[in-house]
Amino acid sequence: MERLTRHTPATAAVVGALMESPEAIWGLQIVKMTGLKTGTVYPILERLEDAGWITSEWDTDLSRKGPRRRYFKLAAEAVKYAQEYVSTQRPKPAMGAGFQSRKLA
Amino acid sequence: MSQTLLVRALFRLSLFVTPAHLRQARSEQWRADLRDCSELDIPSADVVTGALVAGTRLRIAHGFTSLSDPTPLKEEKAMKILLPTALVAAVLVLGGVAGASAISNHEVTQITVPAGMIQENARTTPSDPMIIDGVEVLGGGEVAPTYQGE
Repeated sequence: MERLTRHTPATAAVVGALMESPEAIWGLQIVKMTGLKTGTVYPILERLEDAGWITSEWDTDLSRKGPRRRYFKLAAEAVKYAQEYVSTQRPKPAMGAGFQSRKLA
Repeated sequence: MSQTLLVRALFRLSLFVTPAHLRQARSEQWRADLRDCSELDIPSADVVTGALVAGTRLRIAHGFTSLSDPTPLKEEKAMKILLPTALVAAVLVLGGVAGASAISNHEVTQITVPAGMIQENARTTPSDPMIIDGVEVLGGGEVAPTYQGE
């Protein structure tokens, strides 16, 4: 398993969503949980899978006909790294907030 | 172009840019997402946009040539030319759309100025305005403003 070289709040949000879910979770459910765009979440999931942080499996629900959904789960050995990763990502103050405080000072 | 056609076109483009050995799996994943995205109130356009970004990212990560799988080699070679061309074309199309939008939002304002305040060199019209059917028309098809005292 590789360490992630890029530390971004979006990746932390996706990792956080995977940590919250005890079972494998659908990719679009992560999009919904994090509020991020699919254009952000899909590549992050690809990167996490390449790094060995997550595993994926196909939907086994036979009641749904046609193409199968892909579900993602945090790998057991990645939990520790994931906790570290999420804890290092602190929300940064927005630029606008800084402007506002300087203006008021 | 309707939204459905646009979604289909983007979906095909997403599969096109995705490396050949991952295409089948991603196709199934994204088709399932497109089918079920309405359950989570996620627009299908968002799904195909994500697929396109992910496909492009996979293409960059896996390179433009596949040494392990000789079958898609011809396609991979074509991709070297087609992908940059498609990106440039997309930028040009988006620029064109943005430009057309800016032009359509341009408003022509009729300015009324008191008599005597207009100097000859203050006019924004060309020295030889175009006359169509007796009406003075500017280059962009705008009717020239009329000033009091002219």
